[in-house]
Amino acid sequence: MGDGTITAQVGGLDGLEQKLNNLAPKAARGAIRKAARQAGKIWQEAVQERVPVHTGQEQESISVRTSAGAGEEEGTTGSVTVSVGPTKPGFYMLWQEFGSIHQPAKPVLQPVFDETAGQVLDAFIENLNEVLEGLAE
Amino acid sequence: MLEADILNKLMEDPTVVAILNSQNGTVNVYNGAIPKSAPTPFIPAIVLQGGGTKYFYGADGINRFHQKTLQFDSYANDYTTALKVSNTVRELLQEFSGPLTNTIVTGSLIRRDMDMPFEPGEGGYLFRHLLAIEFQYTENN
Repeated sequence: MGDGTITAQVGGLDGLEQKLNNLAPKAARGAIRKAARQAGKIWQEAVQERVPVHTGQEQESISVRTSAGAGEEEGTTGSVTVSVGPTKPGFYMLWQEFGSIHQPAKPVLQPVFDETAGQVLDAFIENLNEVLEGLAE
Repeated sequence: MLEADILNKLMEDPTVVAILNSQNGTVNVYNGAIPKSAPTPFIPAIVLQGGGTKYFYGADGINRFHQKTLQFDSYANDYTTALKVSNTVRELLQEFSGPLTNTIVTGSLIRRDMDMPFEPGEGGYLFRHLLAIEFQYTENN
């Protein structure tokens, strides 16, 4: 959360492993990122609903970003990271989340993450199954 | 209340008192934010803020065991001092467990330890280092 975003990493989804192993590494990485991005939109919408509006840029600046880390073997994916938080135009939300010297914090991202982490994980698994089924067809 | 207990622990710790090196006659540990009326110089300082509390439920309702994340912001006129103050808090609390006045702390975990952008201060910039620690504790009453 170094830049005011919350990052979640998901692992241990053994049931989906075989299906992913049957795909080419690039396709597997794409499938995971797509599923993770869709799941991350739950956070995006929840944050957009709660974020206080001062300039109007706050809601627009909440974005979902995904990135894939390299695996131990060449051509494999080690992890997929979903980041939800403000982009540059909403940089001042950092002080809203963590406060400043004379102003207490009024966090939005952390409470949303705490409340919806389970829901997002369920959505990710569901999305990944759907994406893999779509690829198999 | 956990916040009050931890605040007292910080203010009573000789290492924290020494590093804050108060020149205004008070130990610069504040709850929530540094009030604008705080006697100067109020830097270096530690600001403690309460985060979310996680409650646990049993058949008879809410358990007395809670989890709460507290945020400790260390402010100083230079980066090294801000980091040093933050590290002192971390050393004091990172493996802390035991009874306090109103609570019994059973464990603590560091959740966040990071630099924050500097903030405008009187005649320059203030450096800030953020430390978030999750405490597992039981209320005494």
